[in-house]
Amino acid sequence: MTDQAHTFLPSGTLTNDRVSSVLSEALDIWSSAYFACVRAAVSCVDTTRHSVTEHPFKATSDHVSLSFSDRGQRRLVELALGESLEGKVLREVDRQLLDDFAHRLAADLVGRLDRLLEPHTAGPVLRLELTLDGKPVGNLLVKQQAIVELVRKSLPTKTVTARSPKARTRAVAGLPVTVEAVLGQLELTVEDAKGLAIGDVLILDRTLKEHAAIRITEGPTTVAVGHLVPENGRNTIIVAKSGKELN
Amino acid sequence: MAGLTPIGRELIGGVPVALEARLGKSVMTIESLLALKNGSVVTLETGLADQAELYLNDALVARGEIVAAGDNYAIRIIELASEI
Repeated sequence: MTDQAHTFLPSGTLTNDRVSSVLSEALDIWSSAYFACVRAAVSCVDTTRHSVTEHPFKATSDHVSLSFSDRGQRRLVELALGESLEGKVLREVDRQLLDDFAHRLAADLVGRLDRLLEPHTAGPVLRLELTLDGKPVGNLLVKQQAIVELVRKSLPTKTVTARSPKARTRAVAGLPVTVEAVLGQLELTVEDAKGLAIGDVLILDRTLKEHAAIRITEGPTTVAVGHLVPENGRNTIIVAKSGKELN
Repeated sequence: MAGLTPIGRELIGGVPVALEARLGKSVMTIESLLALKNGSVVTLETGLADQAELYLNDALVARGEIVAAGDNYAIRIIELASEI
């Protein structure tokens, strides 16, 4: 994992609260396993405003890295033991034991977070500050994309509602459609059709009192019927019935 | 057992077909189409001098003028495809 920190927070979408929220369960399980009444939390570090030092004491996994300062490591151990080490004389073997203990705690947290996150090998890294009871103990480095996906999963699924008929109608309202007026039909045999000649009068199935049909071109459905009326030199249909009135 | 009828001119010639008389077209928006109601005016692209078109299976086969034949509309053929 690269230690290159990415500027936080991007566009306000990956908020401090959201990041804390998606990691809180893993942090709670971890803290309750080692501490009594100690609340572990993370907050996002704005690297543009704070200089973040990388601590030498480190626990890393594939996607998460946790580093402690000496003070942070000591705080971790003190909270786990439930007593202060202030003024206590520690032998080298004690120090090694406590270092090992702190390392196990850190490795356990890193492992829990690692299992929580989807693997992402590329992309920028977020720097999170780990606090125990509000006091900083170390820095967590996590792939930003992994956190983003975690946050996204935690968000309520947006319900996609079907667009209302009115909305759909508005969307297509301006589209052009060609309609044609049909005066009528007649049925004849192929033989009769072949025998047609100029001057023949073909009587249609529609009386003078009946309406001509308006239908969408090349479609079988009649959308309106009306009277054929000449107007301003054009053939015009004055609609008599349309839509549901036709049924 | 009934005798077989050969598929010949006589049989084919008796097949019914429908001729449709179309007056013309008009382009409108879907909004206008949906707004059609009693009294709406749909002006066709064809003029009074234009002839009605006769279609057989969506193929234009003839043109003619609109006439009245008794109580019905009728089309007098003025122009005809050379062979139908």
